[in-house]
Amino acid sequence: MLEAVSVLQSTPGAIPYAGGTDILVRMKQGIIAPQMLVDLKKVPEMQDVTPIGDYGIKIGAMTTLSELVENELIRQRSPALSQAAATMACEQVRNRGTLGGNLANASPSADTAPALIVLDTEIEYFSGEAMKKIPIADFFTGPGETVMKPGDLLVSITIPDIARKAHYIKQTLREAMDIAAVGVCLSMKIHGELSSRLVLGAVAPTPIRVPAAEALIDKGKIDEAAEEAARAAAPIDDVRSSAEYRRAVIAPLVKKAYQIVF
Amino acid sequence: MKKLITLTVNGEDYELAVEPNTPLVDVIRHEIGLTGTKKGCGIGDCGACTVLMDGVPVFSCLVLAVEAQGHDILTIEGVADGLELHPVQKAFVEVGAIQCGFCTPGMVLNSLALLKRNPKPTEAEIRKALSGNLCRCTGYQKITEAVLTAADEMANTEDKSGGTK
Repeated sequence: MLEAVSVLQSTPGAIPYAGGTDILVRMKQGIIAPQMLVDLKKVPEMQDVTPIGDYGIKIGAMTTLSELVENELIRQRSPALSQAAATMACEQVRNRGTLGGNLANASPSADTAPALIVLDTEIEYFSGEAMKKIPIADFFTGPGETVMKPGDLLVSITIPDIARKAHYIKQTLREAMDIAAVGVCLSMKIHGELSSRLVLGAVAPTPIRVPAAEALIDKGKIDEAAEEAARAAAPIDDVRSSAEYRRAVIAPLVKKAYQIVF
Repeated sequence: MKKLITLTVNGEDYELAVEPNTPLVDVIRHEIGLTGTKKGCGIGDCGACTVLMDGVPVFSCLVLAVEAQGHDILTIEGVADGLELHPVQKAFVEVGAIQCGFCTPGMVLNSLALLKRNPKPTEAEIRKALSGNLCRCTGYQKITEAVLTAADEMANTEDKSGGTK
């Protein structure tokens, strides 16, 4: 990993390269023209899927989307992440695309992000000369932007050792090969107080948590929570949906997620 | 600067000098000369360039040739056993799942991988598994039928060959 970091830091125009399913498309479309791709697929620190305690799990950034769908440990401990990954693109893309790539590209509609944010996941990335660890909720700063600077490297993510039930709903206009028009992900603790987490995807510059709606869900006021979530969104018009449509489907989707998780 | 690489395609090793940014599909078609792999969109939308890498379907337009070193690549030319077509290929022909034929190599390879991990897929599972392969003749119904037919045929063959329990 340090070798990859040193090349990235010392070579102008070098960028990290994982599955290539986004970078190669953008290179072919002339959107980016990197001088060097640093292939991370064999970096040992970025590979493994390891259990932490009874419920937690650490996942290397190079884990493919297919692995998220199929890995038994991930399916058992964070089924919402497996379920979110299964909605992405198609077989061929999931076999190459990686968790780290999906997060580092920071698309507002990235499907893996909401599923991880509702689990209070932390991101470990190498920056400058040391590893840093931050809550994933603080990782995204805008469309295509994260707290990472050029030369930084997303190494792994850690889902804490807390039992949570979660569900992700991806609203799309087509049945396959589509990007979320709206994503809604809800989680609740299985033991003790609910301490729910509600995240909306594709309706703001980054995936957003809605703490006001979470507080209402914890009190059992789901109708009010759903309205609160719809108010918190700042959707845009694009090829996939109008802002109006996006805003309109949030409340029903939040209620649906609640019925599934509760 | 060109890199020297060795690619294993359909069991044969090819030593090649390629630019590091050349996609696998271009090397398969233009350097190795196996033109059964089709190049449609070149950006991972159409599935025509699907090949199997270590048995797993990938878009060969979104894999760099240098990344494919050390992996077993299967293209449509390596599917038949000599002149004997694979049951999936036979089913595509017999059911009439081929119209213009451009999507067929990718469809067949993706179907092969599907039947390997799920020998008895439902129609819905077939449609989901093949969602990354577009057929602009819109022959999806026949393609789905062909995969179902091939699954039956392969199960029967297995029963016969392993039937003396």
